[in-house]
Amino acid sequence: MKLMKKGLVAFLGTACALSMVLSGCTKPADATASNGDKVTTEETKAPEASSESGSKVDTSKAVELTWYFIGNGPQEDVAKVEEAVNKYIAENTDLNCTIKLNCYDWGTYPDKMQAMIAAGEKFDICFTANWANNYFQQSAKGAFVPLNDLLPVYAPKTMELLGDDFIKGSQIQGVNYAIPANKEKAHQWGLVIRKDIAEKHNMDFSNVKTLADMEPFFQIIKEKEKGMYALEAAGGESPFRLMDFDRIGDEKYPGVVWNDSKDMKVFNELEAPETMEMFKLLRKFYQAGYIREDAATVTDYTADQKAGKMFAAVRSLKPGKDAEESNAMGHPYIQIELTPAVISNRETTGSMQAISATSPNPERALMFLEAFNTDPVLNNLINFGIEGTHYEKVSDNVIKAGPSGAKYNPGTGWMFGNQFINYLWDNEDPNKWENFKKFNDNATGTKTLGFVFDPEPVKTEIAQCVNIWDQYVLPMESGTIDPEKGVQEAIKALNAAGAEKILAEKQKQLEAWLAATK
Amino acid sequence: MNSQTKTNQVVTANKANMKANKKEGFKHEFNKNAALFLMLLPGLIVMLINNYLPMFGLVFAFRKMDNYRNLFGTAWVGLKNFEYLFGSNTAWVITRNTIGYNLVFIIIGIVFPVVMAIGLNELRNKRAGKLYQSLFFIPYFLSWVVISYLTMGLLSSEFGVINRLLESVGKERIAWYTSPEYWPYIIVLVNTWKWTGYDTIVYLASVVGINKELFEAAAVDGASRMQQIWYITIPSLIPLAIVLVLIRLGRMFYTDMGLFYSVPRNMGPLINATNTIDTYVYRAFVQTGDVGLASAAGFYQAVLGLVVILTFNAIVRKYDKDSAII
Repeated sequence: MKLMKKGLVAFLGTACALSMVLSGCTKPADATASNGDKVTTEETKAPEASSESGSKVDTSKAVELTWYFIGNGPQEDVAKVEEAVNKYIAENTDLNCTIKLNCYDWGTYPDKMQAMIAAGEKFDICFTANWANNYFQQSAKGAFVPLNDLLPVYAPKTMELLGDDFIKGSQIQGVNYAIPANKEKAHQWGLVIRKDIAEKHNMDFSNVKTLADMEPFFQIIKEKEKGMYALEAAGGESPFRLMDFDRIGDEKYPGVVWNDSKDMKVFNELEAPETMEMFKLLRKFYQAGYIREDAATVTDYTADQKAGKMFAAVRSLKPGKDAEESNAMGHPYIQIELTPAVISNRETTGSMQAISATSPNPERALMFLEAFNTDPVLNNLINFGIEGTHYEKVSDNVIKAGPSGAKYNPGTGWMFGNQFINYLWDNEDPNKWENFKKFNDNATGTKTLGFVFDPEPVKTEIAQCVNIWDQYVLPMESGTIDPEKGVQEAIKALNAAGAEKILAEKQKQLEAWLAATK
Repeated sequence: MNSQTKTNQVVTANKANMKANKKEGFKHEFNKNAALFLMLLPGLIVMLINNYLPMFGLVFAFRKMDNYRNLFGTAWVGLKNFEYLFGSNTAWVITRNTIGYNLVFIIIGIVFPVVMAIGLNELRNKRAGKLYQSLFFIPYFLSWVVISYLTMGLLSSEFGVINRLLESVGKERIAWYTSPEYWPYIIVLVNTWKWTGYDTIVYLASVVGINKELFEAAAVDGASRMQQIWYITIPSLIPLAIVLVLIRLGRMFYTDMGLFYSVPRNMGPLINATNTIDTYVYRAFVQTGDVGLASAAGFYQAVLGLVVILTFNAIVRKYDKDSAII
């Protein structure tokens, strides 16, 4: 008996020591998610013998398509909308599928998808972009289905709609791994500001050209609006983005070029004097109490904004962003543009839907996306909810909030397929879509448009830089720590972690690409 | 010479005999306790699936994981996946934090629960004892996410209870989340608060199980209450303490992501005080999505853990053979 006991204990001990070898990918406590929603395939009624679209896949089996996307968090009435969507699909199309919508908020989504994809979880469609659920990285690892052969068969109308700019602009070495949303092609940084509060204090923003010019107004807010934060700098929504560097590769490791493309010299953005100036300004605002004291601990900035506690924030602007923001957040906003409009990889790969390599039905998912991008009823249903409940029609394509409008209002039209078939809210410019076109035409493109950095050769260095970035740069973006000390320490630590090697690799790849595309 | 051969023969014969006995013994045991062995089966299967099957994943640590769909087909890269763990001066900080915190946790994890278990046992009022026991046990059931919000409720710079209290007595607020100097204490405090109740119950079960006759005999000999605790209760708890410490030493190089990532809310300024091997690897993984890097860290932690266990076990065996596990 004693021998047995000893053997068992030894067994247990060894197991303890050697288990969790894969701790890195299973550890994050919340990464296992609440995904009882496995894709199920079940046989239902036989289909009508109609295949007018010439699709080559058998749609006789009903499938459930699971869709993960980013946004302002789960909507209360999402189940009702799913039901309506499924009913519409069943009655008006021959897709024979049902849809499961899963929305995670801005801060959570990237980590969730990273863990889900690495774990090989089954799902069908997911949002991907250069700034969340990293398109380049995930595509390179085979997380998404290559679409080049499938698009002409299952989504010809979408292809036509998007045109060459988007289709080519979202390719990685000639391969499309995702379908961009049809929206604006350029970006422009600036401020959204609470209109009602600004009017209350008779603020005139006509001379505001930089963030520093906002100081007197922030002062007023600090003095007269108790409980309101003058400038938002939480949850990665940092005013630091006004620098608008043309980033080579992903976030959280150094290496950028100026977006005016004067030269193609890759540099460490922390070493630029302009960066120091911006950090100092933010530090000043932080110490003056314009930025929330614990901004860096806040992961979901929308809570403040919805509660009406935010006066101004830096956002990526486009025509009508103010009205979009007003509708999504429930307070009136105006917008002030601070940087020139630029077309970069940020836009052409800025908002896309990819089909997961784990999807049991990639063709069916693509067929759904085709319908979603082209059918205004279906598209608006997911964008705005159910007519009469979540919105009411004012005229043919103009709507206003319905009786329970707050219960379904994703407010992310730029993500859902095709903005040009969306309804407009009654406070929006009726010429919004024409303005979009003008905006697109007037923007200038960066020289790096279409360049994709391959991080593989400097992976070891990147893995080290990430921790340093979290330690120094994120707190400086919200003004939480003193940049005079922080920048220096960060540069020192980054260089010790091999930042120079990363910069050299970026420069090398960029030059090779420029030479090849000339 | 002759005698030596003889002894050798005797020894071999004895060994063979013992072997036979052992074999027979196990068979005998199995036949006698078939039902018990059957009960062992589900646990054994779960352990095989959860703990032994994933060991094939060890190869990931030495491979280039450039594609999720092709797990076993990528190139060998030797120790390249391990490089980032030792590359910069961060290596020292994360190793120091991981080992330092764990050592403190192990010591506190013996002292506090043992004191509390003995205290609870000595309580005359058994009902109050049950109540305290439940109260101490509650934190164990809270998830780290909940605890991280509780901590934030206390420490948040504007609305936190502690800062409000400080202000109400005319003191300056403290920016807890940007002051790393407080965090070693906060981390230890939170961890102790969460685990003490659980460990207390483990020790209490052992205290309750001590043969009552020992105490009675001691009382007859005139031993005081304190003497009984010192000479009977505590020595009886040592074997259990050794097993628990051994298990914890095996996890010496692991830390709880909840405690070190969620509770400090991943705040940059705190990183020197809160960065451990696990949080370091997590940040690197979330950014690079490289399973190879994560596996390398897991492998490294497991090997170090095994070395520590074996070393400590060897020491224990030298002094007290029965308490050693191998």
